[in-house]
Amino acid sequence: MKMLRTVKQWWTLRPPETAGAESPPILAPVRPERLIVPLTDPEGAVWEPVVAPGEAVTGGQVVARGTDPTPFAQPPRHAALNAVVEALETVPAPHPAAPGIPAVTLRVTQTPETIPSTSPPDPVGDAMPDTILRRIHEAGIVGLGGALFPTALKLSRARGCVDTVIVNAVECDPGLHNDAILLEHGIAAVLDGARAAARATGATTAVLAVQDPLKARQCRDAMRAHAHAVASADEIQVRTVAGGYPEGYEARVIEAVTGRLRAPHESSSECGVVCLNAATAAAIAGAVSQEAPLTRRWITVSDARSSVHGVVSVPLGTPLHTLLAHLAAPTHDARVRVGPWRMATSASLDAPVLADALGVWIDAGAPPDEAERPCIRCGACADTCPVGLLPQELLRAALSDDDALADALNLDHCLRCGACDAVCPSRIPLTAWFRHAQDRQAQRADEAEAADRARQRYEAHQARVTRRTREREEARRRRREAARSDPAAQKATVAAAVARARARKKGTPPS
Amino acid sequence: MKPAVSPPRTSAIMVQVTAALLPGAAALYALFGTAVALQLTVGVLAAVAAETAALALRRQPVGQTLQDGSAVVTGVIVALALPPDFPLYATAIGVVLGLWLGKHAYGGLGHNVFNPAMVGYALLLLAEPAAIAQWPAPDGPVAGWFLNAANADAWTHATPLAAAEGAARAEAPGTAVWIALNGAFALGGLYLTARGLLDRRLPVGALAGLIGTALLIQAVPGTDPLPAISHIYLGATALVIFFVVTDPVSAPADPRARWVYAVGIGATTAVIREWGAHPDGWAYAILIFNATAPLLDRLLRPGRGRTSGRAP
Repeated sequence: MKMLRTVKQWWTLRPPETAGAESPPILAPVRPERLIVPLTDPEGAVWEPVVAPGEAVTGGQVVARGTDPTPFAQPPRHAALNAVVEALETVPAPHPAAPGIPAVTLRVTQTPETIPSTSPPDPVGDAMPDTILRRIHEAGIVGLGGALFPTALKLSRARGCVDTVIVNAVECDPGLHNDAILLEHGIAAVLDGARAAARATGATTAVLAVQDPLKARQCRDAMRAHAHAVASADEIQVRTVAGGYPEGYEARVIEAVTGRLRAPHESSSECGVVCLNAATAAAIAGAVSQEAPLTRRWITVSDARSSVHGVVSVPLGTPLHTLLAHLAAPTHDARVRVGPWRMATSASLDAPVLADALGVWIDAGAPPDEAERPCIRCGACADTCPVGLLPQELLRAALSDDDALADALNLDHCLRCGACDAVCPSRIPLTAWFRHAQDRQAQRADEAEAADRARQRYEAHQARVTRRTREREEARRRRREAARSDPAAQKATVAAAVARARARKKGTPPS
Repeated sequence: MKPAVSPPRTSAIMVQVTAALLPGAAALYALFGTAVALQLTVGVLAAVAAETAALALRRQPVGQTLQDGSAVVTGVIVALALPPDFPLYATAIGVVLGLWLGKHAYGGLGHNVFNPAMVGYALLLLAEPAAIAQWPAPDGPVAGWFLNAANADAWTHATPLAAAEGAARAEAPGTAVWIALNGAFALGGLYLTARGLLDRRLPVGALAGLIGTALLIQAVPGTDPLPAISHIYLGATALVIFFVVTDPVSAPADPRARWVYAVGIGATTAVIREWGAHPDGWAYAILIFNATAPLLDRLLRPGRGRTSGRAP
């Protein structure tokens, strides 16, 4: 079996495995002076501030609530630290090219941090599913794997239709170490979170998916060590997900753990699974047992030019430049990118670090200057694509604006993981092209939908006009026919009309 | 700690491909002497000149594009595929036309439908069918190891394939020579395979198609074919399956289409060798399947909503 796998690897030429074996150091936590709480998200949802400038807030207090009435659609947003509300203003968006976004800015006060603990710790095992979901929502928890999908909404949708909760502790990217740190220092919370999610959704199995057998063994040891804290460690299985970039890709983890194939665009609950990032699970544990809101997250920081490399706990809303100053990372002449390594995008230094910042990457000055060469169709990209696409053909479609071809080649399945960029000998920025093509496709779909709506409105209008005309005609015809069919009535009508005319002549109104 | 996925560059791949051709070139030199060196020199110079001229005419950055080394590979392959005493001017014409008509006419590297080396070779095959079919007697430094005076005469004026087709199909003269040559080219090919610089499906498929079809031909009653196994070491088999069939530009992109493509080339070659007018069949087989590559891609591409290879 092992030989077969070796042969298969030899045959398909997977890219070299690069995930670090050792976890990098934990850096001193950041203590920002200002915090920024955005009032929008990239999808366009809007939050309403519930505090006024000058008001003092404590760490963990809600500062803005969602405007969408759908339950759980917009978890509230919290102040990460004790602070005074400075202003409601427009701040730079995370992406340098995007227009500013409205936000609440907070000036952090030096009073010691207190996380309000209104109720005594509440064992997860006793909470009712509704309570769990409400607490998760109130704690402002969103998917910390980068998607930022509201966790309570995800669990409420999965409720009753899943049998397995998978906690995904497989780093989604080479170079990230957030999950490793979490497993080392907070495994009890991760397990508690898994159990709470299982209770909330009615799942019977909970699985912790980790990257390699070494980590799996460490986790099992830690679970035994925490046996007193963790009510029943054995109800949660630990499974190893064999590597291969992008490791933490949800569908791959689900397949490795349950053997179920999730079609792209199918939601995970359709194959009976709800998949949570390990950090999300840890946050759930805090929310359910102590009603502690999500106020900080682990971020991997890597500076290509110096030795700064490690994992740091960052209060959400910390301006990026504060984080960089804290790390003593020189920011001039550097490119700073935020996100998973491959999908990281250039970030404005004044923008806040939010829950989707998995990593902060500081690259030397200009982007690596390597001339792009023509595609020689070597097929390395097709061999490495985790979803089995043909990137070189897709590139042709993207370059020639050929939406039909791009569609036939399943452009919409592209994860934008960047594996093809990494193996391309001609250094073609394939993922950038696919991103562009996907955006354009989405835009065209929007336009088509708008045109469709306009056409439907027009058609409905036309139908109404036609119907009214027909009804008027019909009424007139009926009156005419009624008069014609009854001579006496016809005479009476004529007589009445004559009487009216006479009355008008005399100047007296008809009786 | 940064992810260090650093793939080879196109130019690095081409350098390695050229290096992998060296054992074959050395074997040819050892057997046929300085004529081989002359062919190689002319092939490379013609390739660089043709590429430079074409890039200048197309207003492309000459230095940068020349660096990718693909033109040199084309020149070397044409030079190695021709008989060592082939007229040098004709070699140059073959290389130049191959690059111009086969590559730059389609928009340069990556856009060509046909393999430029095979376009050049096929043109020469049309223009000089007699000269291309006649290999000289080995007279290089080590020719004596393989031939004695008697079968050196038998060798002259016929490629072993042609010879094998003609006079008594028993022991073709110079079989050992061809085994040595193909072995040397295969050595370079295996190096590329080990380095992961070529798609293994292509040489494996082509060889399977060649031998499979040769076996089928053997089974047809009334034919008196070459022994199937001899197809492996006769003619340009090793040079072609490792260095020409594996040209990714003119091959299909889809993995399944690549299997069909490679097997098709091998099968067609066996058929041309057996029943065709030409002693060897690789060049035409490859050009035929180059032309079908886009169609194969279209037909075998996984349908909408499905993807090839691994499950997501």
